[in-house]
Amino acid sequence: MSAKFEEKDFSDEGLNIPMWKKLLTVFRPYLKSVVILLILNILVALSDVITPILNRTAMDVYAAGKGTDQELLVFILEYLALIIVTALLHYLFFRIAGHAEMDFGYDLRQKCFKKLQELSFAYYDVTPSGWLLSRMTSDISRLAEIFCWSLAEFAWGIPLVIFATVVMLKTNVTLTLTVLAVVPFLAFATFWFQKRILRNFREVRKVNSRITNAFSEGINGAKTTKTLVLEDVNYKEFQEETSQFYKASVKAARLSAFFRPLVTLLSSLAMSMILWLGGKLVFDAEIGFGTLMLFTSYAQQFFEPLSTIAWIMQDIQMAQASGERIIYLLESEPSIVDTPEVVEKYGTIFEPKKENYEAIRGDISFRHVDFSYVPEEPVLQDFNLEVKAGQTIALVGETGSGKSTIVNLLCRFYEPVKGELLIDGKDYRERSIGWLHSNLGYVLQAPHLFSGTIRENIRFGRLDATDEEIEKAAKLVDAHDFIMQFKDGYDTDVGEGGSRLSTGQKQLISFARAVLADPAIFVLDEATASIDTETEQIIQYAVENIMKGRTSFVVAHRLSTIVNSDRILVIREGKIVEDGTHRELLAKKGYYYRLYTNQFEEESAKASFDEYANALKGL
Amino acid sequence: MNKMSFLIEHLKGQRLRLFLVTLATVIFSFLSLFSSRVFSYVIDNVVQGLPVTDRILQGVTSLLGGMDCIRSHLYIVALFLLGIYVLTALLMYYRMSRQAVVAESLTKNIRDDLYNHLQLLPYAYHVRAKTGELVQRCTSDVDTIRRFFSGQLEEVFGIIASIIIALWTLISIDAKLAVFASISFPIIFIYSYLFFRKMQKLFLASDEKEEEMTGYIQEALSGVRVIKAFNRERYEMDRFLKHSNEYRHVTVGMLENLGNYWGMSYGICTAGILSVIVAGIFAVRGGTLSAGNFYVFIVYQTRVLWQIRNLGRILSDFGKLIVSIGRLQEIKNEPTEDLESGADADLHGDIVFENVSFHYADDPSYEVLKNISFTIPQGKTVAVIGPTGSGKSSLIHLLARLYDVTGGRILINGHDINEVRKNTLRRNIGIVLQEPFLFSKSIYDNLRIANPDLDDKSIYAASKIASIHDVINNFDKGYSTLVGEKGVTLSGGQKQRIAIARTIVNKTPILVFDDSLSAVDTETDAAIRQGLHSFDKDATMIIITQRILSAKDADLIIVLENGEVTEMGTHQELLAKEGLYQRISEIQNRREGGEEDVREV
Repeated sequence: MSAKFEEKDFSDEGLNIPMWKKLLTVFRPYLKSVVILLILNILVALSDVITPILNRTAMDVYAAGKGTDQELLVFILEYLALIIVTALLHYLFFRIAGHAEMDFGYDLRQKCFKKLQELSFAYYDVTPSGWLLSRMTSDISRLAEIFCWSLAEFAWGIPLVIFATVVMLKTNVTLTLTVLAVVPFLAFATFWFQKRILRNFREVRKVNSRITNAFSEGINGAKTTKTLVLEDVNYKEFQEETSQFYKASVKAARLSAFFRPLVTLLSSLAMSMILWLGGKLVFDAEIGFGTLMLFTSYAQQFFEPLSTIAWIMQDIQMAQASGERIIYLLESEPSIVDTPEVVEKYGTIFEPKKENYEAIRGDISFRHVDFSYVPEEPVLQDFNLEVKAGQTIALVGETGSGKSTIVNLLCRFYEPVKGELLIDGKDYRERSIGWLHSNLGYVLQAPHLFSGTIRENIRFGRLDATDEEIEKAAKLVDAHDFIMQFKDGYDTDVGEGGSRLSTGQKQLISFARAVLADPAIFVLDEATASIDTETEQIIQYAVENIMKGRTSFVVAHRLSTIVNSDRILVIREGKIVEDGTHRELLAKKGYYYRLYTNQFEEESAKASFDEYANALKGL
Repeated sequence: MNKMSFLIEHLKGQRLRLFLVTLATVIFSFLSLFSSRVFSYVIDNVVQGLPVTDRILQGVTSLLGGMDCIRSHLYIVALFLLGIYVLTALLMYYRMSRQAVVAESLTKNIRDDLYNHLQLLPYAYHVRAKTGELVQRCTSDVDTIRRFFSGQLEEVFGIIASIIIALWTLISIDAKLAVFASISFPIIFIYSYLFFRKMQKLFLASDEKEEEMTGYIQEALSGVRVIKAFNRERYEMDRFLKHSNEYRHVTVGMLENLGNYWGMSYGICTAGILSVIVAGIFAVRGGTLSAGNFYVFIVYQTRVLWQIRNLGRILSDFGKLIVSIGRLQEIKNEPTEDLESGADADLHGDIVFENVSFHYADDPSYEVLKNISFTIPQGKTVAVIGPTGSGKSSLIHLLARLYDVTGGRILINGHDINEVRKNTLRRNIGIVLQEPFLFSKSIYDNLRIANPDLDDKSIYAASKIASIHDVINNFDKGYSTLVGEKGVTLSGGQKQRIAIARTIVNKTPILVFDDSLSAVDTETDAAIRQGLHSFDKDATMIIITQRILSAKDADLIIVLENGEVTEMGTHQELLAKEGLYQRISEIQNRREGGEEDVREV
């Protein structure tokens, strides 16, 4: 399993057109909304251009005493109508964009989550869950936001600039040119600075996450810090980080502090020119005051669209990076899939055709199975094993001997590279993954529980189980007593990942969960972590109860749990080196004998202590 | 300590700057409003030739060489206007760059102070601390304060200054119209303020749903193997969709509310502007208002209304700031440990426990340790053995003063440790904790963390003793391998052994192992213990263990039960005495019985 996760290099520069095309297919249902948003924003831009014109009219016509009272009334009503319409446009924009953003995010998340459910163990072996989580959360949110909000901003900014220019040109060419003369400088400054400002803020964020990390370490490692007297060392290191943060932030702020006034200055250059040239025109009575005012409004309005467009360009770059990662995830192919014929007959994991599921007996055979996680490092070679239904098989061997691999293959978490694996005499690839897994009871090394109550966790084994059945399962594995000791009994919240329960308790609940599923095949990958003797005995009892009447595989670390197995297989370097009952193998005085005697010695010493401690508690 | 003094304290060295920035903001507000009056000045006084009544504008007129000069050289006013703009740009630059200095200094001061404070909080605090919540406070609460000082505070000052200056100017122009214009001010302010107060709940609800969804995804990812094994893909899909849908639902609701607000507030503000325009038209027609002043009215009304809308929003955030400061103060109010006072003593390892008793401060009725007395001469090894909960760990916590004795005393080389400087004491005792914490640095940096001057030779030697040298060398990057998320994931045993190396490399006269070898096998355990003796012959060692094998070679074995010493002696002596140790050896004899099983076949 030494394959490493390597993230594809997602480029920062250049437009990745094939990626956008793929994203657009996902986005298609929302195109209509986006078109509406674009139209709404064009209308808003129109309103933003019209308002100064109305103000000019107010000044040059009505304030100057021209126009009848009736015309004035109409003017006021028109103005009012424009306000109401624009307010409505803003309102509609938010509603539609909000719905589109959330719906698109919902859809995309659903697609990704479905993919995550389909991907195989091999994928999860090499992909950090943190990476996947970021795709599912921040990347999708960012994409949805940009598609539904940012893109529409273009439809505001560009029309605004065009409309305003047209109006200005129609009004006065000289003044228009003075305003437009500033625009190239404005545009250049905006793009030049915003790129750098963004880069600076990225740096600030990076240092910030280091500080968060430092806090987390400082708090989690506080006890160690005390014993090693690291207070000063840590504090100095921390101060270095905060100093860096200070420097980076002040640097970033200084650039913004330079940029913003510069932009104001550029637009005020236009304002001064308007005052000078426009003032003369007013003086010569060529234009009214209102027109002068119109130009000052437009000169100030020119900056915002430019800045908005510059931000969107940055946004789109980030969206591209997010989009590439999401498409990469959506295009990942699960390594284990059912053939079309199998899907035809048994359905998919999401839409199973359970009526076609055959009952399972539990005969298992490995025939000439080769397997490797990475091509150059074979784990199993020509592995053969015949197991009769109902047998209990224990797998013993060192770490890395291949014993967990054998059960992983059996569970079809992985498939043989060569050879075949038969269940009830038929290659298991001729039936669906869902068929096998719905007949499987599987208890992992480190028991994994989900947030929620104990009852919910056990019910996970069989969703339609009644409360009585759940209790029965818990009783069978001796979990009922400790569950009832909790104030809330079966409704006790287990905490995130089961964190409120001890390892032993989690194990027992995961057993109950497996028992409830009533599987034909039961697999236990035993925990390596040490649990106290009492719990161990309870677990051993539970395991024996579960295994009755099922084909069972136990990957054993504590030999005491397997002495009663029908067969013990000693695995070394992917091969079965010893095969027999406990007694037979001891008689052989081989590898198993050595393992057993060594371990027993070590365990008895520890066990005696726990036993004594328990005896004391009893007094 | 009230909220204000928390800020003032951490604004050390920045108070004057903060004042100057505020002053600059006020002047900026004045100048940027004043620039509009230059236009009205040109319209009314220069072009239309109305007499200049305003005192400031009179000053401007004479400054620019009198009205006649201005009229013939209009560019003079344009240059004057440009001058004002340059001044506002300079003030803007000053304000933005300096307020960053204020905000970042404040942030740095708070962070440094918090970090240092947390480090100095006593062991007992960290035992019961909720780490996730603490980290959250140190990051997001500090960030709230930082954001406020990075702009919001000055914005509030600027807006208030604008309102006052605008009102003052407008009243001096036309008091009646000014009053009429200002009717919409409180309306938009109250509307915005109340709206965002309400929105905070909706923001929070949306955040919560998003967190729930994220939490669910995280769990589904970490439990993906179980999901697959139980064929629960479809079930999880439904559960996921439920979370995802809830998040969507709440957030859409929030966005719809925002839509109402943007539409509504746009309407209020522009209607406010329209009302001034209409009233202005009549005033100009009636001859009570000049065209230029009409322009001033429109521009000021527009600017002030949008700013007030913003003010409502910022002030509604104010509550968050107060809450954040309160949460940080809670941390600061926890009393710290004094590491510095006390005598510098020469400690080399004669340890005496004299009638030591101990109970936790919050449970005085439960004696964890009762009347413990024993002596460890320098260079000797003592094993402490006993069942879980017998008080073994407390014993060494007391020795390093992670907790203080509640009865009796502990002496090292004749010094009562209560009188010794804590830093000195702890520098002389190397403790390997039961669950050691490794920092996310390279293994190398972890090993020399307590003493950066250590040379490679001693680091390697310590690693060899701890049986970890070969393991480290097997990593791709050897000693430079990073520990934690970005590097290797170490097993419990590997962590323990690195922690042992990290402690013994400092050659402290006293070494304590708190069940530090529980995760390594017995052979490695023995090898490490043997190595320790040759590594530092003079060190006094205390080994806390559950394994008899780890204890039996010690010079003295102390058996601890329910907080009392029940037996003391060497392995041989204890075997001869009736008690826990003997019982254990009896159980060990049963091992022979276990082997009969083997012999039988």
